[in-house]
Amino acid sequence: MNLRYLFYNAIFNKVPYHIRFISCWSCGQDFKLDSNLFCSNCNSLQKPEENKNYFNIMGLQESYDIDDTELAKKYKELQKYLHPDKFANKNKTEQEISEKYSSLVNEAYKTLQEPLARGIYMLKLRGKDIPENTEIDEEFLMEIMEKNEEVENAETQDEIMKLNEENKSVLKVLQNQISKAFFDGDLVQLVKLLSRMKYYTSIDNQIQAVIRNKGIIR
Amino acid sequence: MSTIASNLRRCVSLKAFGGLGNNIQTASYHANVIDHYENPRNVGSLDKKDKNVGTGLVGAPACGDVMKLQIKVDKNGKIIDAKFKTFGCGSAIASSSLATEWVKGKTIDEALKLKNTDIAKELSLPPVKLHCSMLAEDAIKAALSDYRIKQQSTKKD
Repeated sequence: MNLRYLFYNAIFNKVPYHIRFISCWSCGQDFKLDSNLFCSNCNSLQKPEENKNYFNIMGLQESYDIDDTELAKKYKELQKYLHPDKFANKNKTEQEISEKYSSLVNEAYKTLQEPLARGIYMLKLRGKDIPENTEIDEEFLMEIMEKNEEVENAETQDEIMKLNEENKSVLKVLQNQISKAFFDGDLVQLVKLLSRMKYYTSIDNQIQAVIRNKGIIR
Repeated sequence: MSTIASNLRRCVSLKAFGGLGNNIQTASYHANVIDHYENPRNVGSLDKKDKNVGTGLVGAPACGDVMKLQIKVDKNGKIIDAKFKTFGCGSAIASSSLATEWVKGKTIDEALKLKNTDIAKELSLPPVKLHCSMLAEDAIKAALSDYRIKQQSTKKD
């Protein structure tokens, strides 16, 4: 039965989550956890596996190029089962598991959703982070300073929307370069690209704040 | 004004990590930070090409902040003016504002002795924000070194 199940999974990949064999914390029964969430015997919600990264938690393959729609789908699907509201009538332990699991899924979703946060997280999985004293060339800082000033001085809707468009395309290019660097496993290049992305993301935040404050409707 | 709002938000969220065993996460910045943040001193630019002006441009890659600090030095080696422009969080703005205030009237050698810990102490910065004061120290050093390089090259001429 189990073999057939595994075989079926391998071929058709219908069940998004890996299979685990564990003992339920609530009823003690050994069972096969095929949805990765509930005990097949007593239906109690199970704790998330320890030492699993955000990709595993969301049931996604680890890659910088993730499908946004797929990620959102998985997120909604998981929260449909995990949300604490679903456990209002359950016992305390299960409520606590639901709270922890649900917030873990929120955290995973938030991190994987943003290109910058995702990149920094994946870099961390590879044992590296962006050091405080990363060398940046003066020319680049000058450019960032000027861009920030342009955003600060933008008055008309056209001006700010143009800056927004420009900045978005810079971010897009960086995202592609980061994707390639992850593919090549070039950590040095990744630190450089991600710290650049940090600056442009911070400009993006400024631009979005201006757009909101000006009440521009897109 | 818009940038202030977004910056404040950014810092409030960062502050949340600094709460020491405190369950209520509030934006409890020290009054000195708020003061420098709301009324920053010496915002602006000096003429970059002036040989008596030193410009320091530094950035913090971990948080995407960028800081420009300029000093103007008179014949006696005394800093007579200082300006800054910072795009970053409240602590970075307050640190650079305070730094410009402190270096004014000092000699180059005195200014070089300015430590980030002094800035952090004056502003009561939490540990997660110490790097902001470090950025201000780096900016001063960069400005002073830019001034020195400029002076040396004019002497050669």
